[in-house]
Amino acid sequence: MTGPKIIFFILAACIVVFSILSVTSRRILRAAIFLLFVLVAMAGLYYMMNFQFLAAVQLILYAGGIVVLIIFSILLTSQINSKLDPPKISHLIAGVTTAVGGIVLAAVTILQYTFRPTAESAIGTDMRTIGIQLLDTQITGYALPFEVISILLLAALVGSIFIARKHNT
Amino acid sequence: MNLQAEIPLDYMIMLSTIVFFVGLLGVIIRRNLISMLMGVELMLNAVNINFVAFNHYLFPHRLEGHFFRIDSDGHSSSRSRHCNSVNH
Repeated sequence: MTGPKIIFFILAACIVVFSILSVTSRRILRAAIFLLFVLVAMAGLYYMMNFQFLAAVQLILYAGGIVVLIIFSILLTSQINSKLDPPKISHLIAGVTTAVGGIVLAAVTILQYTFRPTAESAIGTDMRTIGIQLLDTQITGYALPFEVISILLLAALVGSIFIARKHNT
Repeated sequence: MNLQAEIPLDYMIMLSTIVFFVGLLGVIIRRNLISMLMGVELMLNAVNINFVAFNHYLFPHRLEGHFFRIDSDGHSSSRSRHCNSVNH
């Protein structure tokens, strides 16, 4: 066992255990905190793969944004003291069957397939390269998805304001 | 650090498969909007691990997985915003 392997297995164990806890916990605030642990461990995985920018984005956007948003909506809808209902037996059987069957099927398929990496040399993942490629209009650029995603965010903002406004006006 | 020699790609994909189906389990067994949102969040993050792992292991000469993952951030934040406004 070498260093990176040990770190990977610690992170993977954290991710798997806390994601199962987050799904099965009956107190919803605890489930949100377990989800936070999963997201932080995933940021560690990105650091291992040398994507520092993505790890920072993961910490800022998911751990700092989405989990806080979920916790706010739990607190605002005052569900903090109520325990969730235990799942119906039929739902539980269906869910566990789907999950275990899906994991087995995907594992068999993945382990049979051999992935072939490209022979070309790796590009750097520093901020300068990322920034240039993100706003480039050449073949290696991603300016169009960047603009499309901003339209999507604007539409989501307008839609959520429309849904959440008071209906008596 | 040569990560390919230490940790094969299969490990990463198996990890993301497990997280994905745990998230699916959460969506199936819960009947609460916020709990289902958390299940979807788990599934989406599992897919993000796949994007980044394929980018790092198989196609390191481009940053495609990198930008797909940033775009999926936009999707997930817009979706969670929407779910929260529906919930209120």
